[in-house]
Amino acid sequence: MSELVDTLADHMATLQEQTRARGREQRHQRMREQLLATDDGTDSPPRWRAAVWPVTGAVAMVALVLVVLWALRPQPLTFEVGPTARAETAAAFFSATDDEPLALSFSDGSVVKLRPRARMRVAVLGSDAAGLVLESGALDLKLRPSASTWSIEAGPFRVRAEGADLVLRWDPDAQTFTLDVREGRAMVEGPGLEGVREATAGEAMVLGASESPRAVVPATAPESEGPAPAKAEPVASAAQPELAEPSRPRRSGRAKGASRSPGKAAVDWRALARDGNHAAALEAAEASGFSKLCNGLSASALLELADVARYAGRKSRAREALQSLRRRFPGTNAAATAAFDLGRLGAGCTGTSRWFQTYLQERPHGSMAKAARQRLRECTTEPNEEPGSSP
Amino acid sequence: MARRSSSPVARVVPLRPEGSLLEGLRAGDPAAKGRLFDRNVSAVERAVAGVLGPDSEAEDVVQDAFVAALRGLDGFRGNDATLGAWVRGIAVRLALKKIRWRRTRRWLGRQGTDAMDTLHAVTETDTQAALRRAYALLDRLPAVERAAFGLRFIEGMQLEEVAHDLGVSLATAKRRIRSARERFSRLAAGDALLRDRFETEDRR
Repeated sequence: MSELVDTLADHMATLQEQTRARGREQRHQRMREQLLATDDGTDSPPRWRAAVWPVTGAVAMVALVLVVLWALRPQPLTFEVGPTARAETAAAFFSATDDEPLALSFSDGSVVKLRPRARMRVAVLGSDAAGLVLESGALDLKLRPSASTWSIEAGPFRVRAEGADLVLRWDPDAQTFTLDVREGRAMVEGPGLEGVREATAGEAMVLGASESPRAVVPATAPESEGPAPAKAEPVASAAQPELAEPSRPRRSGRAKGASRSPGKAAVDWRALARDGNHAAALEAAEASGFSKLCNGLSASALLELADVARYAGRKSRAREALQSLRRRFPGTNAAATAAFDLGRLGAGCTGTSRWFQTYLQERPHGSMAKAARQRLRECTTEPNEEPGSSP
Repeated sequence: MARRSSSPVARVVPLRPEGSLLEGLRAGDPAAKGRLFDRNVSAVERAVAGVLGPDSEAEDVVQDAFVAALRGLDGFRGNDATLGAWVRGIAVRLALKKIRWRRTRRWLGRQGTDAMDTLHAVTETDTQAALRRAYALLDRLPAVERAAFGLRFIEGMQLEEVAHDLGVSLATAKRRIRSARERFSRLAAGDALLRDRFETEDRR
């Protein structure tokens, strides 16, 4: 094979020599004249050449600075959820199970622990700030000192804190908010407070959504998994006692009077529901007047009642609760969720599509928007006309 | 009376020493420029042809090499004896740059100049076609290997010259040459036209 290479190289050499030989003298003469006529710059190098290196250096320096700034730009906070450390983004909803707390670990070192049955949303994640919305239940917040500024909304209340250790509880049924500052301090705004109220370490605050502060007391013992402290004054009974959240197990040593005195009927159906006895829960709800409940329960309780009815196989009752919710709390997140649930309750496409469309109109970027679009697509590809309720 | 000798007197005119070419160039002497060109143009043309092959832009590369050499004299640390090799090295680097530039343009989808656009000297059509194929295969080699092959096997330069012109050590130059030869050999063996045309010739 090397003979082939040598043969080729010989042919190429011949070709190149022939090519060079053609018009060699004239070519060299021409090139020589051009060379002699060329300003070779030996006397005076062009001015721009002197500037090449400084300009190149400056450009490189600027590029380096830009790269460094880009690399050092503030990164938004991130967080991981639960023991599996699943990475999550903002606008995510989380709820703890009935038995287990749920921990969220943030990149600034802060930890949020949702207590059992609590629901919350991570609303904002900035480079040095984060915003949570506590929908219901209690959460423990351990904020790393000198890290980010945190804002937590719970109903009409807002808490701002940095480097503090807090316990927050929001009961949407009783419309009560409690704050226990274990370390650091927090600024609280909301109904009944004139401007911003500061709560410092060792203080607990119990507030009603429509009243003046019910209690601001020093906390005697750190709380772990129990409800918020409300030692001095019992939290006033809710205006509709039968609609309030059932009492939760309380630790000994807490002021018994701080319980929110839930109504018996409400305790019954919700307690039964928590035990998984949905049929009995629905019966209890009906015994205490289903329509009355629909007209009196809070939005989140109505969603719960609709779930109970749905699990009990009584779609009509579920629809009643959800439609009542939409009528009484229009424009809220719960109303949008109710629209989605109404869509799920439908058997055919005509009615259900309208509810999914309603959900998408009200919450085009909501947490269930993807599922709603999927359902709508299914209806488009497999039309199944059945009568259903309409928005 | 002084007797005048009638015998012819041989007049010895001493040759003026030519003086240092490098000094003349640094002094901006046009004659020195001409001497530099005259002494080295053939070697520089060979080196450029070794890298580029028959190429319509070879003349520009040669010209650019001389201009670059004149402009870069301040950085030259050799003497008259090594000046020619220095210019040749510049020419090889410019030719390599040309190859890389063409490849970049081709990679970017821009039309590059075909290095094989002039094969005037060849009259035999099938030889012309086969050589065009051979240069195309050579073009598939890495630029430095292509240059090493061309300088060594086509232009027949010494190993030391190849190493100098490529700006590498002798060992590296040998490695490049060997690698280029193996690669080109494999490519040529896989080309039926080349095999048919030149192996037949070998057997004759």
